[in-house]
Amino acid sequence: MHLIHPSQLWWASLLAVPILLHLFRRRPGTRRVSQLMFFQTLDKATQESPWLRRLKRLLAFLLTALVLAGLVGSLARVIVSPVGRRLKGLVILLDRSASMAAADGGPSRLEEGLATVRRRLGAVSPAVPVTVVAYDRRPQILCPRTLERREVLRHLDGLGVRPMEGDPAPALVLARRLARLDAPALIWHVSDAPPAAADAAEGEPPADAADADASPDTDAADADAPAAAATDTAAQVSVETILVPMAEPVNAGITALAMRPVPMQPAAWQAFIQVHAAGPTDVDADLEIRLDGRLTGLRKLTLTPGRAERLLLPVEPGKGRRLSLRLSAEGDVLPIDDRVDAFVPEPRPLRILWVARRHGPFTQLALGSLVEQGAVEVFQGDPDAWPSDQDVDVVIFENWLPASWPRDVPVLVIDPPHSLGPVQAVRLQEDGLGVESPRPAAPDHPVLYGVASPRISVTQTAVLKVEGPLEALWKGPAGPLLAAGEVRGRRLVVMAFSAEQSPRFPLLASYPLLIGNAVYWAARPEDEPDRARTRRTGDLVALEGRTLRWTLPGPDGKPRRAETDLEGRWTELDRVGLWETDVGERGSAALLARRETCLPAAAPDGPACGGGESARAAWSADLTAPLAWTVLVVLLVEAYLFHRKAVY
Amino acid sequence: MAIDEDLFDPEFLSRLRSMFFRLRKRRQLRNKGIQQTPAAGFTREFKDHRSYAAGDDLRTLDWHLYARLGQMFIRIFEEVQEFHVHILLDRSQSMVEPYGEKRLMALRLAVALAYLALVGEHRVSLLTLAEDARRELPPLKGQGHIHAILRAASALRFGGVTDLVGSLRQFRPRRDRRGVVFILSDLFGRAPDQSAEAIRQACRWPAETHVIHLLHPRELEPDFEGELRLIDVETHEQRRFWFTDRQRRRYVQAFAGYMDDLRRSCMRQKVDYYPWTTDRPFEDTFLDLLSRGSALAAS
Repeated sequence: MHLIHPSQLWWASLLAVPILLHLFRRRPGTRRVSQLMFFQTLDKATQESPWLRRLKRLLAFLLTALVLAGLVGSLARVIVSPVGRRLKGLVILLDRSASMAAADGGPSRLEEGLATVRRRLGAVSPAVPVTVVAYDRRPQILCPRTLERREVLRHLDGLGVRPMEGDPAPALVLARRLARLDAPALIWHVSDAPPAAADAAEGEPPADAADADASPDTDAADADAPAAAATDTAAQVSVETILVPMAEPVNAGITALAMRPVPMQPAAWQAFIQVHAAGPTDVDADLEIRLDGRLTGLRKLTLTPGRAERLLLPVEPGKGRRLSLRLSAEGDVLPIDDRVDAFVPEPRPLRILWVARRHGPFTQLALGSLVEQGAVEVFQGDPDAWPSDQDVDVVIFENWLPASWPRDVPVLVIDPPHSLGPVQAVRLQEDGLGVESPRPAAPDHPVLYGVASPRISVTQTAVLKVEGPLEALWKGPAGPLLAAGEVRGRRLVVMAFSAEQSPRFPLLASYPLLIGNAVYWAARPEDEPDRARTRRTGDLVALEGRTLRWTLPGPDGKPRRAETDLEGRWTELDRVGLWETDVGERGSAALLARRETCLPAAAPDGPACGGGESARAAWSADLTAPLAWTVLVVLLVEAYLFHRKAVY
Repeated sequence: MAIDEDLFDPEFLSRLRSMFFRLRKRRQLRNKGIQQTPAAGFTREFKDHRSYAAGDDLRTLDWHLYARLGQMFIRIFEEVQEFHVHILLDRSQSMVEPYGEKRLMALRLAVALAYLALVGEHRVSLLTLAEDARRELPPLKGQGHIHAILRAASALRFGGVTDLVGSLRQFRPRRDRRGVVFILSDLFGRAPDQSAEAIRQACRWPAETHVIHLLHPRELEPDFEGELRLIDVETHEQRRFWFTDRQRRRYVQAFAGYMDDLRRSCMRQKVDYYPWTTDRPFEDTFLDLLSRGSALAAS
């Protein structure tokens, strides 16, 4: 037996009142009379013998004490539970990821799970504190440890699905930590998919100082059973998974979308699309591709459950253009993953500052070919004008280096005259060293894309000392002559050869190709794809604006707008749609989660969710209501005795 | 034994004397003289002469008339009848507690009755009633015995339990002498119905019986209320009560019914019943008692 509100026991001090009244009650006045026989003829209820009087007084005192004790017990909420099986804590871990919204006309998975939790929660002792944790990409404590069931139910009622991928591993770690606070404790993990064994057993971080004495966890989750339990024997924490999957869910969804420039075609873009499906058989789906609302393509797909279907679609870039993908399949139970909207990246020429005492013609020719494609803008500058206030994407130093290394711009160094900063070069003799067919050290590096090194011959003017972040790409007999790397977040490409002195290289196509690759790689290695990337819901993005305006797909196909205020720099994208801030930042968010699209199906022979030893361990009897009824009955008896039988 | 000055102070005795004269005057005004029987007696009170007839007692011949008139006349004397006044005084504890006025009133009433009887040349007996009947004084006659009455009354000790039925059963007045019986009591016994049962014995007495029911006003209507522990002064029995106004009304009603029953019972037994509360003036109440046709008052 224990109490939920032991602080209410101080009301028991009121028992002192009837005790004192009983012990030090006012004695009745004594009168000597000569006609007692006439008093005896009066109502017998008003007279009694001393022993009966004492008995009645004792009875009245006991009844009063019983009423007070009952009231105190009701206030303190006396709980009786079986010895040795008492549960001290319960953590309700709820999956609110996108897949929990799956519904085939009836309640969603989340509603099903919440109903199960509510039903089982009624059998849990009121003395067991309950913590509610919900998770999607990240866990969140919705309701801290509380004994107030109404508060728990209020949080359960207010819980909704978030269009995000669910990650149960950190949530289970958090739930275990919370459960250990009240060990022995129970975790109810409500989800539509059993946690992977790694999530259940290996998601636990090393024990902290508080858990130093605890033995390593020995969780063992049966991932195949719909209702599985894992027990942390050391910390006496049990995990019971309450599975609420659909029997045979049918779903098709877009699980990936990326837009990227076509390699070596900076003006051309393409969209990479990945589609998954779930169902008992193959799923026939239609993929609509719309550009600025105009239907530009329709693909009919036959999706095999569990297998990815990947597509590449050419996309014509343009300012403010929007790409919309809509996947439809018959019997689809999860519409969240059927639609993806994205901004098409806006093409922008690359700005290059070329600083040299004497601008070489071959380099000029190579850069000129890039300019002709409309992909770059080249500004030529003298060393005297350095540092420049020009806003450029990349700087080319040819046969010249500034006094100090620029820290805020990518750099391409051609024929370095000396060492500076990350460029460590040892000059060779004045004519240099001819190198036939330099040996590629990293042939798959993007800088070497399409460059046929066996056919070229260059004159090496310096030997590079490649260390740290730099990586040698070409190596000659004297040492590295082409290196690339990233220094303090800025990319750097160093070419330790002179194009003018090289006999068989500048006029080949490989040189402008090498210059172009180096410039593109250094200048915007991931910038454009990043700008064009569709974020996954749940991603954190750094935004400068104060207001975030969403354009969301409405249920009838018409866009719906919503606006939220941003409280900090980092914002979680929690909706599916296009977003834009008041300062012009914009992007899109979509579910793009294979884990959510591939809905699990219920095991045909799995036990029904609910019940189990853990639930029985949580049983107890709340004596509050019986005590309150006892108080009421005693009060009625006392009133009856007082008014009818004159027990006072 | 000395006379209790608190009980019978000189003022009371003088008032008793003046009360007697007031009573005699009232009686003379009503009867124009002492009530006499038509029969001739042998008292020394001369009444008349008549002619001698054979058989008359020669001791009554008036020789002076015979010498003067030469005819024989005999003297006729007035015969005055003598009563035996029995005063039965309740000496139980209930006459003392909780209201001592009843004792005072009973003693004074007894003394007043005795005085009246002694002045009227009657015999007076003083008996006390409690568990039994006890004779406190032998029958007395003559005014000079009033002091003996006073001393006996002063020496009287109250206490014990009232057993009216038993004690009145022990009281047996002589049948050869006419008597008047005064019972001075609160009639509180072990049960209310014992009072009537005790009085029923009076019908066997060759006497005129007066029951003077001495009560305190608080016995007619108690003044207390609330939770009480009541102790009977005689039996020491205890009872707890929650005495309310409602209970008080019921008590008054029950006590009035009890007195009515007593009154009816006395009427059936041809016994005079006179309730006497201690808050009433003694003299007026006493005269009122005697004006109810008692033989004592008429003699």
